Amino acid sequence: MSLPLTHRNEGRQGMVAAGLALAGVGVLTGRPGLLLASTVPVVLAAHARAATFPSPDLAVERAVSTTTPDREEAVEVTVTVTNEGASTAPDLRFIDGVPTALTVADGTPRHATALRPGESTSFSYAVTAERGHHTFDPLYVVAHDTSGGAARHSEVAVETELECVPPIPPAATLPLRPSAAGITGETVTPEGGAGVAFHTIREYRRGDPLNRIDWHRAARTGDLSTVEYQRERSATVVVVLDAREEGYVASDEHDRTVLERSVEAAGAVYEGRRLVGDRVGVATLSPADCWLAPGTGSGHRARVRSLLATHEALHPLPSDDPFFGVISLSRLRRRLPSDAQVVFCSPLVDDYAARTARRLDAASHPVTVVSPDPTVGTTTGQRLARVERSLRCSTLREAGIPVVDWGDETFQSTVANAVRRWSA
Amino acid sequence: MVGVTDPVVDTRPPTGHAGIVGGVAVVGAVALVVSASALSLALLGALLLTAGTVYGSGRVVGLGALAALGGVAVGAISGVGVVFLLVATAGIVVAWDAARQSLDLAETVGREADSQRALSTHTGVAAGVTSIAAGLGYGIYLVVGDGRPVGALVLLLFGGVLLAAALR
Repeated sequence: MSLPLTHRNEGRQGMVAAGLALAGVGVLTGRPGLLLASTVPVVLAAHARAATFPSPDLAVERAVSTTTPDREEAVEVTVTVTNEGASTAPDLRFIDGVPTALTVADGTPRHATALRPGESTSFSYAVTAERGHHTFDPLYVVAHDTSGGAARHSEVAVETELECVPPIPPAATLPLRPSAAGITGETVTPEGGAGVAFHTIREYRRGDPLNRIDWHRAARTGDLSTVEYQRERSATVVVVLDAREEGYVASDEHDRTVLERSVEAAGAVYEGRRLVGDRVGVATLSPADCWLAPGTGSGHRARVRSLLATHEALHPLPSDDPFFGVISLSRLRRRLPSDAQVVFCSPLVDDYAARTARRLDAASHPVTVVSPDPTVGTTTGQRLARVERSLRCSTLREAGIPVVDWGDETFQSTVANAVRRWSA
Repeated sequence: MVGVTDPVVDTRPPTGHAGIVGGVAVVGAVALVVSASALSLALLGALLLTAGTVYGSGRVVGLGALAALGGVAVGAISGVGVVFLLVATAGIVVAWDAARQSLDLAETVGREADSQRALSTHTGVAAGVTSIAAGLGYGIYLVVGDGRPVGALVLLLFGGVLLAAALR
């Protein structure tokens, strides 16, 4: 449908029939009054038939109470329309282009009125802000002539944007898989070397630093031996979000999608790993390409925050573009630094997600899966979905991939409980 | 299973619309006060027109218009005066048109939106057009009311041509 388009409204056709029926009864019964009365509906129908398509000249302004709202904040939108043409617009109907990811919280984005030349009308409504970058669509205008018989549909573009960037959630200290390598940091490795915590004592080898020689032992036995500490290294971590259509499932039609929880988990994991000095990157499995190389520092943190909030690959509603699983996965594998660990945030509602986790793990990128649980309900289908998902979790665990199954608790306490279970 | 869906828009007209429709329809019906049966049929029609507007039902509105115009026909047969017939027809037709317009408006902008002014403007214009048509018709009726004058034939032909052009 391309705009502007015009159409005729045949609603007054019934009046011709009514008029002719009245005239017929008048003729049959010999009542001239009825014949005369029959002209009235026919004239109204003729008025609609003679209608010409209106072409109103409108100026539209749209004002929002804030362009950078917090999440779930109500944003008041006020639309003001002025008739800048020389003639009266007798019937104007407006439908404002509310961004698809936002819901109207109060009032209605629709309005109808008549405007004399130079006259203005305004209407307002409130939308609930949602994570992301939102652009308003044009104002849709339907103009009718005085009889309602001819209509013109058009759009008036008004640039309005909202950007809602939630803060990075509190850190969740998700432990990594024990195989780090790289620069000094806080990820404990099974190797011995320089560090703080005691690891082993071994025989002295030439070149060992003096401060690591166990002098008590040397005094007691006369043999030199060297103390090894647990080596601590900084890890490189890439948080991968499942933002395919399957990553957008929701427990209920009106609920937020599970992607919002994946994004929250990704933010919490990022913050947790950043605080222990790891280099953390972000990537998505999604139709749109999204990659932020691992990094550190406050600039990188700001980039992560903005990416998690507004990147098109993480838009609050799924994209219509196709997703090519094999291409996306191989692109991700090309980009992953060779020593990178992967934290994969996915609801695990299909086999592709579980397979991806195992493939990355097999490609020597140790994977930890964080899985927000979207399954609810007691119907057969819902129960089946729940069983299938928990089977995927167990298969992954059997393959040695830790899975954090995130239910109703906060993510931070879920991670803390999982860590307690793993270390028990 | 997708998260946010469009809220369903209530396409019944706002309650204020029924007031306009009902008011105009009752004015038309009351013009038939001379004949009890015509009056009751027209009032029934007015009630249906109003109810159809309240519930957003085009079918009930159509039935209401049929009943009310039936009242006009009954009134004509039972001898209601020509002026009153004209006033009744004009009122009922304008109310019918207002009900239709109200349903159309509500279908586009919904029940919650403010659309009162659009409807009253439309109804005002329709009432104006109807009054002019009825006035002109009554004038011609008075001039050539009796007999079979040549002027009436000429006017009838002229009107027929206009009508054909309008309905083409």
